[in-house]
Amino acid sequence: MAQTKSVHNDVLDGALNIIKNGATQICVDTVAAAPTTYAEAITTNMLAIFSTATPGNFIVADESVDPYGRKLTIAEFPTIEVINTGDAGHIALCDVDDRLLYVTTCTSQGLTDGNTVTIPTWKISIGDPA
Amino acid sequence: MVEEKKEKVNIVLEVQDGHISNEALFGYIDKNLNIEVKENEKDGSD
Repeated sequence: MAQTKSVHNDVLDGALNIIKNGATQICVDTVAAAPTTYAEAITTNMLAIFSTATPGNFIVADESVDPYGRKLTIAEFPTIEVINTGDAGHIALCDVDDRLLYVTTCTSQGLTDGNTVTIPTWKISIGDPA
Repeated sequence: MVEEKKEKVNIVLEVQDGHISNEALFGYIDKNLNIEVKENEKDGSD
């Protein structure tokens, strides 16, 4: 008899919705060190920040590629003002409760104070149980 | 003297997607639901 693991979409969405409904600050952080705290994400390591994200900037849906499951698609954030000069290497999502919710990486690129930076759309997925 | 106005340069980042495996999220629960069934030892001793 074949054995199968499964999980309800609502269970996976529970985690993704924490980000969707909570994340308001999208930070471009330095490549030198990944932010490990809220303070590091929004100040110490921050090169640029978009501070008024809303749940409308995030979409939870089925993941169509292996290992399937559910995904959270984050909208593009175009032409964010660069505040500090440095090499970008991390993207951090933070909420109003001073929580560092999620950190991903980006290809290292130099940013200069006074210029702008665009964060293209990307996604976070949680796979179905294998 | 007229100052030249510098145009802003926009850098487009290449962001890597994030993935959380189901096992990473639920590994603890999954581990605790894995019940190993072992055959009782039958060595004849009390």
